Amino acid sequence: MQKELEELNIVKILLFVFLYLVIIVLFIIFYTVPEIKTYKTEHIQYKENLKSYYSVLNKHELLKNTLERNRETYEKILTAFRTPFNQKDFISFSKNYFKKISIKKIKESKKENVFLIHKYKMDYILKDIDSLYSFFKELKKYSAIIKIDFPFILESSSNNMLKGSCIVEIHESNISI
Amino acid sequence: MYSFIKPYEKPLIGYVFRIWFFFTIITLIILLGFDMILGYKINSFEKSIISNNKKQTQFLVDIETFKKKIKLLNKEKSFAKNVETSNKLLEESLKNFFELIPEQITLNKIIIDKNSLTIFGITPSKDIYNLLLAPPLKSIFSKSVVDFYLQDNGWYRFVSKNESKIVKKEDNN
Repeated sequence: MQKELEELNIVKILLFVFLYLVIIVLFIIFYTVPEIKTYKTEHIQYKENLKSYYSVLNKHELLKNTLERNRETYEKILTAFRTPFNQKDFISFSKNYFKKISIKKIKESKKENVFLIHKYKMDYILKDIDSLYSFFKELKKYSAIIKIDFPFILESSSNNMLKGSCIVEIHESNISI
Repeated sequence: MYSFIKPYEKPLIGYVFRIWFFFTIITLIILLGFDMILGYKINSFEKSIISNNKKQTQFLVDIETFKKKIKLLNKEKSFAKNVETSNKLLEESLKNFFELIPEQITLNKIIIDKNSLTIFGITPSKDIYNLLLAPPLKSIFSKSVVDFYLQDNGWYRFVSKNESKIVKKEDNN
Protein backbone atom coordinates (compact mmCIF):
# COMPACT_ATOMS: atom_id res chain seq x y z
CA MET A 1 0.00 0.00 0.00
CA GLN A 2 2.85 2.30 0.92
CA LYS A 3 4.32 1.63 -2.44
CA GLU A 4 1.04 2.24 -4.23
CA LEU A 5 0.53 5.53 -2.47
CA GLU A 6 3.99 6.49 -3.44
CA GLU A 7 3.01 5.79 -7.00
CA LEU A 8 -0.01 8.07 -6.84
CA ASN A 9 -0.35 9.91 -10.02
CA ILE A 10 -2.21 13.20 -10.05
CA VAL A 11 -3.41 12.55 -13.61
CA LYS A 12 -4.83 9.20 -12.57
CA ILE A 13 -6.63 10.80 -9.65
CA LEU A 14 -8.05 13.51 -11.85
CA LEU A 15 -9.22 10.88 -14.27
CA PHE A 16 -11.00 9.04 -11.49
CA VAL A 17 -12.58 12.24 -10.21
CA PHE A 18 -13.67 13.11 -13.73
CA LEU A 19 -15.09 9.64 -14.23
CA TYR A 20 -16.87 9.90 -10.88
CA LEU A 21 -18.39 13.22 -11.84
CA VAL A 22 -19.44 11.94 -15.26
CA ILE A 23 -21.18 8.91 -13.77
CA ILE A 24 -22.93 10.94 -11.09
CA VAL A 25 -23.97 13.74 -13.47
CA LEU A 26 -25.25 11.22 -16.03
CA PHE A 27 -27.18 9.45 -13.30
CA ILE A 28 -28.66 12.73 -12.10
CA ILE A 29 -29.54 13.90 -15.62
CA PHE A 30 -31.11 10.67 -16.82
CA TYR A 31 -32.64 9.38 -13.64
CA THR A 32 -32.95 11.93 -10.84
CA VAL A 33 -33.96 15.02 -12.84
CA PRO A 34 -36.88 13.27 -14.67
CA GLU A 35 -37.97 11.88 -11.31
CA ILE A 36 -37.89 15.38 -9.78
CA LYS A 37 -39.86 16.73 -12.77
CA THR A 38 -42.47 13.99 -12.36
CA TYR A 39 -42.61 14.74 -8.63
CA LYS A 40 -43.16 18.46 -9.28
CA THR A 41 -45.92 17.78 -11.82
CA GLU A 42 -47.59 15.27 -9.52
CA HIS A 43 -47.27 17.63 -6.58
CA ILE A 44 -48.95 20.46 -8.51
CA GLN A 45 -51.70 18.06 -9.63
CA TYR A 46 -52.09 16.80 -6.07
CA LYS A 47 -52.36 20.35 -4.70
CA GLU A 48 -54.96 21.26 -7.33
CA ASN A 49 -56.83 18.05 -6.66
CA LEU A 50 -56.72 18.74 -2.93
CA LYS A 51 -58.03 22.27 -3.48
CA SER A 52 -60.95 21.04 -5.56
CA TYR A 53 -61.54 18.15 -3.12
CA TYR A 54 -61.74 20.48 -0.11
CA SER A 55 -63.95 22.91 -2.00
CA VAL A 56 -66.41 20.07 -2.78
CA LEU A 57 -66.05 18.70 0.75
CA ASN A 58 -66.85 22.11 2.27
CA LYS A 59 -69.91 22.47 0.05
CA HIS A 60 -70.95 18.94 0.98
CA GLU A 61 -70.60 19.63 4.69
CA LEU A 62 -72.38 22.98 4.41
CA LEU A 63 -75.38 21.48 2.60
CA LYS A 64 -75.39 18.46 4.92
CA ASN A 65 -75.45 20.73 7.98
CA THR A 66 -78.13 22.97 6.43
CA LEU A 67 -80.28 19.94 5.69
CA GLU A 68 -79.82 18.52 9.18
CA ARG A 69 -80.53 21.88 10.81
CA ASN A 70 -83.67 22.31 8.70
CA ARG A 71 -84.71 18.72 9.46
CA GLU A 72 -84.50 19.49 13.17
CA THR A 73 -86.18 22.89 12.88
CA TYR A 74 -89.06 21.69 10.73
CA GLU A 75 -89.35 18.20 12.16
CA LYS A 76 -93.03 18.72 13.01
CA ILE A 77 -93.92 19.75 9.45
CA LEU A 78 -91.91 16.90 7.93
CA THR A 79 -93.57 14.38 10.24
CA ALA A 80 -97.01 15.84 9.52
CA PHE A 81 -96.52 15.41 5.78
CA ARG A 82 -95.40 11.83 6.27
CA THR A 83 -98.11 10.77 8.70
CA PRO A 84 -100.83 8.87 6.82
CA PHE A 85 -104.22 10.46 7.40
CA ASN A 86 -106.21 8.59 10.03
CA GLN A 87 -109.93 9.30 9.70
CA LYS A 88 -110.78 8.00 13.18
CA ASP A 89 -108.06 10.03 14.80
CA PHE A 90 -109.18 13.20 13.01
CA ILE A 91 -112.79 12.65 14.07
CA SER A 92 -111.71 12.12 17.65
CA PHE A 93 -109.65 15.36 17.47
CA SER A 94 -112.58 17.28 15.94
CA LYS A 95 -115.03 16.03 18.55
CA ASN A 96 -113.30 18.35 21.02
CA TYR A 97 -114.84 21.25 19.12
CA PHE A 98 -117.90 19.88 17.33
CA LYS A 99 -121.00 18.31 18.75
CA LYS A 100 -121.24 15.94 15.83
CA ILE A 101 -118.93 15.33 12.93
CA SER A 102 -118.72 13.04 9.93
CA ILE A 103 -116.24 12.95 7.09
CA LYS A 104 -116.53 11.25 3.75
CA LYS A 105 -114.01 10.90 0.96
CA ILE A 106 -115.27 12.80 -2.08
CA LYS A 107 -112.49 12.34 -4.58
CA GLU A 108 -109.86 9.79 -5.40
CA SER A 109 -106.52 10.83 -3.99
CA LYS A 110 -104.42 12.56 -6.60
CA LYS A 111 -100.81 13.50 -6.87
CA GLU A 112 -100.10 17.18 -7.37
CA ASN A 113 -96.51 18.30 -7.54
CA VAL A 114 -94.81 16.28 -4.84
CA PHE A 115 -97.90 16.02 -2.67
CA LEU A 116 -100.59 13.40 -2.49
CA ILE A 117 -103.92 15.11 -1.89
CA HIS A 118 -106.92 13.48 -0.27
CA LYS A 119 -110.24 15.35 -0.34
CA TYR A 120 -112.99 14.79 2.19
CA LYS A 121 -116.31 16.48 2.83
CA MET A 122 -116.75 17.31 6.49
CA ASP A 123 -120.26 17.79 7.94
CA TYR A 124 -120.51 19.06 11.47
CA ILE A 125 -122.83 20.41 14.12
CA LEU A 126 -121.56 22.84 16.71
CA LYS A 127 -122.86 24.73 19.73
CA ASP A 128 -121.46 28.13 18.92
CA ILE A 129 -119.18 29.89 16.51
CA ASP A 130 -116.37 30.08 19.08
CA SER A 131 -115.98 26.29 18.87
CA LEU A 132 -115.31 26.72 15.16
CA TYR A 133 -112.68 29.38 15.86
CA SER A 134 -111.05 27.09 18.41
CA PHE A 135 -111.05 24.28 15.85
CA PHE A 136 -109.26 26.53 13.37
CA LYS A 137 -106.72 27.52 16.01
CA GLU A 138 -105.93 23.98 17.07
CA LEU A 139 -105.86 22.60 13.53
CA LYS A 140 -102.28 23.75 13.04
CA LYS A 141 -101.23 21.59 15.97
CA TYR A 142 -102.80 18.49 14.44
CA SER A 143 -100.46 15.75 13.22
CA ALA A 144 -101.34 16.20 9.53
CA ILE A 145 -101.33 19.05 7.04
CA ILE A 146 -105.03 19.91 6.72
CA LYS A 147 -106.49 22.72 4.68
CA ILE A 148 -110.07 23.80 5.06
CA ASP A 149 -111.36 24.46 1.58
CA PHE A 150 -114.46 25.80 -0.12
CA PRO A 151 -117.38 25.72 -0.32
CA PHE A 152 -117.66 26.57 3.36
CA ILE A 153 -121.26 26.41 4.51
CA LEU A 154 -122.65 27.45 7.88
CA GLU A 155 -126.34 27.56 8.79
CA SER A 156 -128.55 27.73 11.81
CA SER A 157 -130.01 24.46 12.94
CA SER A 158 -132.63 23.34 15.42
CA ASN A 159 -131.97 23.61 19.19
CA ASN A 160 -129.89 26.74 18.77
CA MET A 161 -127.15 24.75 17.11
CA LEU A 162 -125.11 25.54 14.03
CA LYS A 163 -124.51 23.06 11.30
CA GLY A 164 -122.20 23.27 8.39
CA SER A 165 -119.96 21.59 5.92
CA CYS A 166 -116.66 22.23 4.23
CA ILE A 167 -114.04 20.51 2.17
CA VAL A 168 -111.01 19.16 3.97
CA GLU A 169 -107.82 18.70 2.00
CA ILE A 170 -105.11 16.50 3.44
CA HIS A 171 -101.64 16.82 1.98
CA GLU A 172 -99.12 14.03 2.24
CA SER A 173 -95.64 13.49 0.95
CA ASN A 174 -93.86 10.17 0.82
CA ILE A 175 -90.47 11.36 -0.40
CA SER A 176 -87.87 10.86 2.31
CA ILE A 177 -85.87 13.87 3.42
CA MET B 1 17.94 -7.83 -14.67
CA TYR B 2 18.86 -5.35 -11.99
CA SER B 3 16.01 -3.33 -10.34
CA PHE B 4 16.34 -0.23 -8.16
CA ILE B 5 13.22 -1.14 -6.27
CA LYS B 6 12.28 -4.23 -4.46
CA PRO B 7 9.60 -6.24 -6.18
CA TYR B 8 6.20 -6.14 -4.46
CA GLU B 9 2.79 -7.65 -5.10
CA LYS B 10 0.61 -5.47 -7.33
CA PRO B 11 -3.15 -5.97 -6.61
CA LEU B 12 -5.43 -6.51 -9.61
CA ILE B 13 -7.70 -3.69 -8.46
CA GLY B 14 -5.76 -0.73 -7.28
CA TYR B 15 -6.26 1.05 -3.98
CA VAL B 16 -7.32 4.31 -5.65
CA PHE B 17 -9.85 2.47 -7.75
CA ARG B 18 -11.28 0.85 -4.64
CA ILE B 19 -11.72 4.26 -2.99
CA TRP B 20 -13.23 5.65 -6.19
CA PHE B 21 -15.53 2.67 -6.49
CA PHE B 22 -16.60 2.97 -2.84
CA PHE B 23 -17.48 6.68 -3.17
CA THR B 24 -19.21 6.18 -6.50
CA ILE B 25 -21.39 3.38 -5.12
CA ILE B 26 -22.16 5.33 -1.94
CA THR B 27 -23.17 8.39 -4.00
CA LEU B 28 -25.27 6.27 -6.34
CA ILE B 29 -26.96 4.59 -3.36
CA ILE B 30 -27.75 8.02 -1.87
CA LEU B 31 -29.15 9.22 -5.19
CA LEU B 32 -31.15 6.01 -5.64
CA GLY B 33 -32.49 6.41 -2.11
CA PHE B 34 -33.51 9.97 -2.91
CA ASP B 35 -35.17 8.78 -6.12
CA MET B 36 -36.94 6.03 -4.24
CA ILE B 37 -38.32 8.57 -1.75
CA LEU B 38 -39.49 10.71 -4.69
CA GLY B 39 -41.02 7.62 -6.32
CA TYR B 40 -42.81 6.76 -3.09
CA LYS B 41 -44.14 10.32 -2.80
CA ILE B 42 -45.25 10.32 -6.46
CA ASN B 43 -47.02 7.01 -5.90
CA SER B 44 -48.67 8.34 -2.76
CA PHE B 45 -49.81 11.51 -4.64
CA GLU B 46 -51.33 9.37 -7.39
CA LYS B 47 -53.10 7.17 -4.88
CA SER B 48 -54.41 10.22 -3.00
CA ILE B 49 -55.62 11.81 -6.25
CA ILE B 50 -57.48 8.63 -7.24
CA SER B 51 -58.98 8.27 -3.76
CA ASN B 52 -59.94 11.98 -3.60
CA ASN B 53 -61.54 11.81 -7.04
CA LYS B 54 -63.57 8.79 -5.95
CA LYS B 55 -64.72 10.58 -2.77
CA GLN B 56 -65.34 13.79 -4.73
CA THR B 57 -67.62 11.97 -7.18
CA GLN B 58 -69.61 10.57 -4.25
CA PHE B 59 -69.71 14.03 -2.62
CA LEU B 60 -71.06 15.55 -5.85
CA VAL B 61 -73.80 12.92 -5.96
CA ASP B 62 -74.58 13.65 -2.27
CA ILE B 63 -74.59 17.41 -2.95
CA GLU B 64 -77.23 16.97 -5.66
CA THR B 65 -79.31 14.82 -3.28
CA PHE B 66 -78.93 17.38 -0.47
CA LYS B 67 -79.95 20.20 -2.84
CA LYS B 68 -83.06 18.28 -3.94
CA LYS B 69 -83.94 17.48 -0.33
CA ILE B 70 -83.45 21.09 0.81
CA LYS B 71 -85.60 22.26 -2.11
CA LEU B 72 -88.32 19.76 -1.22
CA LEU B 73 -88.10 20.68 2.46
CA ASN B 74 -88.47 24.37 1.59
CA LYS B 75 -91.42 23.53 -0.62
CA GLU B 76 -93.09 21.55 2.17
CA LYS B 77 -92.28 24.28 4.67
CA SER B 78 -93.82 27.03 2.54
CA PHE B 79 -96.77 24.81 1.62
CA ALA B 80 -97.49 24.10 5.30
CA LYS B 81 -97.17 27.81 6.00
CA ASN B 82 -99.61 28.58 3.19
CA VAL B 83 -102.11 26.05 4.51
CA GLU B 84 -101.82 27.57 7.97
CA THR B 85 -102.28 31.08 6.54
CA SER B 86 -105.21 29.95 4.41
CA ASN B 87 -106.99 28.45 7.44
CA LYS B 88 -106.18 31.54 9.49
CA LEU B 89 -107.58 33.79 6.73
CA LEU B 90 -110.79 31.79 6.58
CA GLU B 91 -111.13 32.11 10.35
CA GLU B 92 -110.43 35.86 10.17
CA SER B 93 -112.84 36.26 7.25
CA LEU B 94 -115.59 34.56 9.24
CA LYS B 95 -114.92 36.73 12.28
CA ASN B 96 -114.88 39.90 10.17
CA PHE B 97 -118.01 38.86 8.34
CA PHE B 98 -120.00 38.25 11.53
CA GLU B 99 -118.88 41.62 12.84
CA LEU B 100 -120.49 43.21 9.75
CA ILE B 101 -123.92 41.80 10.52
CA PRO B 102 -126.14 44.35 12.31
CA GLU B 103 -128.18 43.20 15.30
CA GLN B 104 -131.49 43.70 13.45
CA ILE B 105 -130.61 41.18 10.77
CA THR B 106 -130.75 37.44 11.44
CA LEU B 107 -128.64 35.09 9.37
CA ASN B 108 -129.91 31.66 8.41
CA LYS B 109 -127.16 30.40 6.21
CA ILE B 110 -123.92 31.48 4.60
CA ILE B 111 -122.04 29.85 1.74
CA ILE B 112 -118.48 30.98 1.28
CA ASP B 113 -116.84 29.95 -1.97
CA LYS B 114 -113.53 30.90 -3.56
CA ASN B 115 -114.88 34.07 -5.18
CA SER B 116 -118.32 34.45 -3.75
CA LEU B 117 -120.39 34.78 -0.62
CA THR B 118 -124.07 33.90 -0.47
CA ILE B 119 -126.06 35.03 2.55
CA PHE B 120 -129.52 33.81 3.50
CA GLY B 121 -131.23 35.81 6.23
CA ILE B 122 -134.16 37.75 7.59
CA THR B 123 -134.38 41.53 7.86
CA PRO B 124 -137.16 43.63 9.43
CA SER B 125 -137.13 45.89 6.38
CA LYS B 126 -135.38 46.39 3.08
CA ASP B 127 -134.01 49.71 4.33
CA ILE B 128 -132.23 48.14 7.27
CA TYR B 129 -130.50 45.75 4.87
CA ASN B 130 -129.75 48.49 2.35
CA LEU B 131 -128.46 50.87 5.01
CA LEU B 132 -126.57 48.54 7.32
CA LEU B 133 -125.46 45.46 5.39
CA ALA B 134 -125.40 46.37 1.71
CA PRO B 135 -122.68 49.11 1.90
CA PRO B 136 -119.96 46.98 3.52
CA LEU B 137 -120.78 44.10 1.17
CA LYS B 138 -120.56 46.41 -1.84
CA SER B 139 -117.20 47.70 -0.64
CA ILE B 140 -115.81 44.18 -0.45
CA PHE B 141 -117.36 42.57 -3.55
CA SER B 142 -117.53 43.91 -7.06
CA LYS B 143 -121.00 42.51 -7.62
CA SER B 144 -123.64 42.36 -4.92
CA VAL B 145 -127.22 41.35 -5.71
CA VAL B 146 -130.02 40.83 -3.24
CA ASP B 147 -133.50 39.34 -3.59
CA PHE B 148 -136.14 40.02 -0.94
CA TYR B 149 -139.11 37.80 -0.18
CA LEU B 150 -141.93 39.29 1.92
CA GLN B 151 -143.00 37.11 4.81
CA ASP B 152 -146.40 36.89 6.55
CA ASN B 153 -145.14 38.93 9.53
CA GLY B 154 -144.06 41.82 7.29
CA TRP B 155 -140.35 41.02 7.57
CA TYR B 156 -138.24 40.03 4.57
CA ARG B 157 -136.33 36.89 3.83
CA PHE B 158 -133.35 37.81 1.69
CA VAL B 159 -130.76 36.06 -0.45
CA SER B 160 -127.69 38.16 -1.04
CA LYS B 161 -125.24 36.99 -3.71
CA ASN B 162 -121.84 38.64 -3.67
CA GLU B 163 -119.16 37.86 -6.20
CA SER B 164 -115.77 38.56 -7.58
CA LYS B 165 -113.52 39.57 -4.76
CA ILE B 166 -111.83 36.72 -2.98
CA VAL B 167 -113.01 36.20 0.55
CA LYS B 168 -110.19 33.87 1.32
CA LYS B 169 -106.79 34.15 -0.30
CA GLU B 170 -105.85 31.11 -2.28
CA ASP B 171 -102.50 29.64 -1.52
CA ASN B 172 -99.81 30.14 -4.10
CA ASN B 173 -99.04 26.55 -4.84
